[in-house]
Amino acid sequence: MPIATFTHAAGDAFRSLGDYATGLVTPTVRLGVTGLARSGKTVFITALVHNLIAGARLPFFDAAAQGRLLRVYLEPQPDDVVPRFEYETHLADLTGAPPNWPESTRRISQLRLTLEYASTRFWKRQLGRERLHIDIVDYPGEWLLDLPLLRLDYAEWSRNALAQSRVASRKKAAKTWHQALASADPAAPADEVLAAKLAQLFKAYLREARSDRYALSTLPPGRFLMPGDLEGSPALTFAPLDAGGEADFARGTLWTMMARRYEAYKAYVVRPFFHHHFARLDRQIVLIDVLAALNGGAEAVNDLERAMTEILECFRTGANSLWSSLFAPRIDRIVLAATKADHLHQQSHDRLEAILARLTGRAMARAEYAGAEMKVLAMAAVRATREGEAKRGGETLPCIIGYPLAGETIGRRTFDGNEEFAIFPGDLPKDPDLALKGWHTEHGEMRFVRFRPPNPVPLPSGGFAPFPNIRLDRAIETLIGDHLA
Amino acid sequence: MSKSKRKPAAFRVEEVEVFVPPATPTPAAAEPVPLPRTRAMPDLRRGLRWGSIFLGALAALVSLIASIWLYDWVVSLIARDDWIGWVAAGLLGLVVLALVMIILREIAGLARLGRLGKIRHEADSAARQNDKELAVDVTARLKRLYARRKDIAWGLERLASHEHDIMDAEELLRLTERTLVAPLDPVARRIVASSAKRVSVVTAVSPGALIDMLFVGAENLRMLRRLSTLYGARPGTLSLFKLARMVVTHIVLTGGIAIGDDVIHQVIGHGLTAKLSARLGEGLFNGALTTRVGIAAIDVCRPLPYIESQRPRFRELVAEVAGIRSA
Repeated sequence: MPIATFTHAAGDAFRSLGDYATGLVTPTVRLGVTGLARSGKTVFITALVHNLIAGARLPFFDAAAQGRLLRVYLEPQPDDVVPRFEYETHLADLTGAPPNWPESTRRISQLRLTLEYASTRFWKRQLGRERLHIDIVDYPGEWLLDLPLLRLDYAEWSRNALAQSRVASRKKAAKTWHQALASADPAAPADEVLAAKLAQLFKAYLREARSDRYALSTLPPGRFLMPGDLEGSPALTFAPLDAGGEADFARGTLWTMMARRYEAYKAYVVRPFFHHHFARLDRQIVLIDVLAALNGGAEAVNDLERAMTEILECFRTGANSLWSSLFAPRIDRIVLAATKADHLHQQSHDRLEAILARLTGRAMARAEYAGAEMKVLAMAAVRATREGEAKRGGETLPCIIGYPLAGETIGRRTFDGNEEFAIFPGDLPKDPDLALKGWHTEHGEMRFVRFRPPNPVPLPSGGFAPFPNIRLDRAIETLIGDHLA
Repeated sequence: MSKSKRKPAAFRVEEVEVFVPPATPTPAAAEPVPLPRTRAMPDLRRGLRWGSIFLGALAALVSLIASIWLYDWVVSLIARDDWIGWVAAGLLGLVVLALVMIILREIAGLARLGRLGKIRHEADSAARQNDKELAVDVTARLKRLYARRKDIAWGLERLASHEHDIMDAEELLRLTERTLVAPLDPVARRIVASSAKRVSVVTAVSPGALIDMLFVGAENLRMLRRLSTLYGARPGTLSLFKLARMVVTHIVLTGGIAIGDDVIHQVIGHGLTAKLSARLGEGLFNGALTTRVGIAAIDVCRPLPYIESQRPRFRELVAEVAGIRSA
């Protein structure tokens, strides 16, 4: 596919040249909010916008702390064909009675935020108030898993997917699909019914593996989990086949049909998604739900590590030169955020950050080598708990206090979602490698419970006060602080 | 900490004693780190300090004689048993009371001065070692120190509004510096600049060297008092002299660093001005000296190390003295 790659690259270069020219008038930061499903992208974007618009106290976001942020508002986004991020709906979810987390994202959406600020630079100040656009894209996290597929052909992908489905932790979830697969012959003539059946079973296996019981991450293709508007089309009706290492099949066989659909999936689904939304990012925040993976045990953690490394390798990171900022802008700052840090007492935040740094070590080393700035944070865009201490048998336990979601369990207790509890989730191990091995969760020494959002605080002037957060301001400062100097 | 025996647990909020930890811990929460003493001279082993014994004994003898004499005198006055006697007794009582109060105030002043130094030292080590407990303690003490100051009321309020935020030690200290101490810095700069200006002008126009000397000394002491009062030490006479000694020690200790900075400019510039007018050159030199003393005094009095804000630089302050305002 060299020609397509080439034309895409040329298109990207022209687009970024155009962006550069527009950026001279009003600078624009394209902020990539990257994260697997349920890592909290939507909540992060909603909280970010809410905090900035409402002028919340953000002590370590310098422009806001120094009172230089004059006005923040939403503007019509630049892309006319992409739906708008439903900020108001998501905020209504969070501030409802009772408050709920927003529903998981089903399609791509976009938002433009404009910041008016007073610069600290003398000459910029003379030109009046400065403006900065921030373009943010929200999308289903499942789709992110597709990016590594761009570098695999059907035979490779089949082999990988099969190998993965045969490891111990997935075997059970994949049982019915494996049975169907054994009876399917790749060299047999193409059969639409069989293909649909295989795809159906493959999808069922992916769904099962993603549930809380397994909490696995690397489950491409992502559109199988969150189809968007392509549900049922041939591009989504394929599955890996077991060819036993053989890759040459005659035309009209099941294998060739599947391979063709796989390539179509890449060409019409994955590649446009990548080029429209990821090839042009300036800054990136990667949200990672480390705690859910720790809950899932060693296999889930390893899976998360593999997924994040593969995904992060798809981005162009590194310091920008004049040439690269003209034709192929790179991501020069990356924040790696361990989300839902409010599920832990702050004493453990250091350890959480250490675990995340260890988890993304390979991807980080590569980006840092290319000259990108990295920052690792334990963060909660919406802080659902407060902290306290509980005494048990002469021992003082650092706790977090909040309303656990209905159905969450700890030990033998199941929560109903209406009562406030003080939770001690267990100690994170000091050595991040131990956490990655996962024996702590398997022996029941750590258990992280999810909480419902905090009770909203109405403002006398209407609307709601921005939610408390953990280190959201540090994340914002690292992402856009230098643009507001 | 990681006994790895602490199993996850859930408590009903009413079931157990759940308390939100107090934002300001008791002052004794963190054991203070011993303050390293700065000495200009190496600590030589010496025997009994005969000089101090002599002076102490002499002072005790004199005060004993004086009090016996006073006592006799007052007793003889009281013996007269008329109004003069009672007035004398009352006056003596007042004298003693005032003396006690002065001593107490001096002690308090010295203690406050010591406290500032200790806070700064502990803040420094808290920021370096990311010691959250110590940082919280330092912040609490600083808040208590400034609790009644009207000029920092806004900063105190801003700091209080972040009390339950989650910050690590360095961030907490940065916030404390930004809200409580940084607003005082420009005022301190202005104090130094105005003193230096006054010293320069008076030296340049005064007729005699003796007047110069006295004025420079007095003005420097006044500047020290204003600076330390600004940062919360409110010194008495004794502590003012102690402060002066600390400042001189500080200048001596950091002198080597400062020379690399701007003294060379100063020497060359001074030579040039001195060629134009000897008195003007002297005035500028004294002004520069006062500025240097002022910077050292800020270093000694400031209750926090420089975390986010910049240490005032000699050149900037000289520019401020000369009336050149940077944008």
